[in-house]
Parts: sequence; C-alpha cells; structure tokens
Amino acid sequence: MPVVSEQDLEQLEAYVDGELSTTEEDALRARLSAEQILGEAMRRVRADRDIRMAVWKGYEPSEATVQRLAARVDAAVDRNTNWSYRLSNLKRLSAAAACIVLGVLIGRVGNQGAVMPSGTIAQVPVGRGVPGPTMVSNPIEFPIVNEQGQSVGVQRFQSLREAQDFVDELNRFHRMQEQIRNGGGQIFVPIERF
Amino acid sequence: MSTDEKPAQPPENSGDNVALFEEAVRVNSKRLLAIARAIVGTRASPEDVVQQAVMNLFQHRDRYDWREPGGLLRRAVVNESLRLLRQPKMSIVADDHPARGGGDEPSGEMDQRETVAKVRAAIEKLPEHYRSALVLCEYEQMPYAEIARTLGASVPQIKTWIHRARRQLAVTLKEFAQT
Repeated sequence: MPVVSEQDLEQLEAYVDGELSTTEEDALRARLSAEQILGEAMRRVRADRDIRMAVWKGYEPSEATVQRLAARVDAAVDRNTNWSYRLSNLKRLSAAAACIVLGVLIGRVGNQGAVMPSGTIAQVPVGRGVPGPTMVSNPIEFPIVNEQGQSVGVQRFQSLREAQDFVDELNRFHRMQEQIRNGGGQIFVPIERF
Repeated sequence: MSTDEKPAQPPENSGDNVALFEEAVRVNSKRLLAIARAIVGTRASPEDVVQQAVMNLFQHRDRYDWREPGGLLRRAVVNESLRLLRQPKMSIVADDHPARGGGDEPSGEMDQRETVAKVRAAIEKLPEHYRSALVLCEYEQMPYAEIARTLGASVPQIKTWIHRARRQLAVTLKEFAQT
C-alpha cells in the first residue's frame, strides 16, 4: 500500500487541527482532489481522530462526580475564608494588646523604676508594624492604633489597675463585636470608653 | 455551644471574588475533571487533582480576573496533573469511567467499544507531555500557541509532540490489530 510522507501527514493533521493558513489550506485542498493517496490518508487521520474523541468524551465524569467536586471545593473555600478572617481578627487584637502591654511596661519603667507586679498582664506577641508608645511619663500613656497600624489617639491611665481594667474591657468589647457579627442581637455594648 | 465557638463569618464585601471563583469552578468542572483524568490516568484521583489546582488559585484569587477563568483553570489543572505525575510514588486509583454497556449490543458497537478501549490503553502509555498536548488540542480544541503557553513549551515543540503522539498511537494500534 502506498504511503504518504511524514511531512504530508503533519500537514494533514495541522489542517484537521485548524492550524493552516488560508493559502496553505487552498493548496492542500487542491492536492487532496488530485492525489488519491493523500485523500485516503486524510480519511484515516479523521477516523483516528474520531476514535480519540470518543476516548476523551469517555473521560467526562458523571453528574454525581461533578456535584461531589463542587461540594468539596465549597467546603474547602469555607474553611479557607473562615480561617483567614479569624487570623485577621487575631492580628488586630494582638496589635491592640501589644500596644497596651508596651505602654504599661514603658510607663512603669518611666515611673522611676517602680517594680512591675508579676502575672498582672499576659504577655502578647507584638504585631508587625505596630508603633510603640510615643510618650513615656506618669500618668501612663500609649497610642491607640487603627487597623493599618497608624496612631489615631492617646489613652492615659492614672494607675496600673486602671490600665488592667482597660485591657479587660477591650477584650470584652471584641467578644461582643464577635457575638454581634455571629447573629447575637440583644447585646448592650458599653462603647463610651472607645 | 457558646457564642465564641460559632464559626467566624468573613466580611460581606470580600465575597465578590469568592462568588466568581465558585461559579467558574461550577461551570468548568466537568471539562477540568476530564482533562485531569486524561493526563493522570489511573495514577491519581481526578477530583483530588482538580480540587488541589483550584484551591491553589483560590489562595491568590485577588491576582486573577475571574470573568474569563477558562484558560486559567485549565492551566492550573494541567500543571497540577503534571506535578503529581512527577512525584516518585503514585498509587493506582479505581477507574470512575468503566466502559459502558452490556452484552446485548450489535457487533459494530462492540467493535467500536473495543477499539476505543484499545486507544485508551495506548493513550495511557504515551509520555505525559504528549498526552497533555494531545488532549488540549483535540478535546479542548485549543490552538497550538495556547497549548504552548499552557505547557510552557514552544509552538514547534507542541506540533512535534502532537504529531509523535498520533504516530505512536497508530503504531500501538497496529500492534493491537496484529495480536
């Protein structure tokens, strides 16, 4: 049986794939009508491609598999977004708490070496980009920062006890915010101190 | 359950890209699963491949335009499939797509099914980059230039891979026919 050259075969495949220019297509069509061997090769190329298309179609999943994948992706997205949100909240809380701790510590040091009572305030890791207190004096002062870490005000305390109360109240405020966000409606929030 | 244990909710305005992402996955998942299946064969679960690929995109969702996500998703699935195949140890997973049909069918259809099964077996023996190029060309009907971008190769390389894949399949099928 006569065979076509590799080059011709490649051109036939490129034709079927729609990769030939208009000029090349016209030239090939002219050869196909003139050369019987080439026409036969083209029929084989198309037939082989049809069989492979049946294989590719056979790889398509059932509707149940598609639904299962959608459910898996939805669950993964929910997990991912919830964790991102929690982490961003934690970062904000850490930044606020770090400011308080730093302010209290520096205020105490500035108060002529007064001894810091142990275990009064928990140590919280310092958030990146959060500025420290701008003033060291008595009464204790420290900056209030926004979510971008910019200082938006100064909070003053007359005593360590008062600072501790502020920390407790801040934590309570964040918990209440969280409750409201999660659907807890009837909650009184004492916001006058913020 | 205390209020503190309730799952946290993301802010409402962050949901735009999430909604577009979920829609893109829903619309394209059938084709993505077929592409993954064609490339990984039975060496990994197509669902795992697609899930991993789309979640990789989700992590950086704000970088992409989700209004035209087809090419992006395809590229992610192809890359994830090839990455998986390059891992040293792969377990064989059950084939979700067994040949359909029973015994009461015309002989023509049986022949056709037998041929398809042989071609399928031959496709699975192809080198992974040949197989990827071929499925993107024939099933996805992508132009050579786009296949080249997806697979990180040149257009002449893609042309060669597709041609060699077809020749290799023809040879394998000839061997099948002779046995």
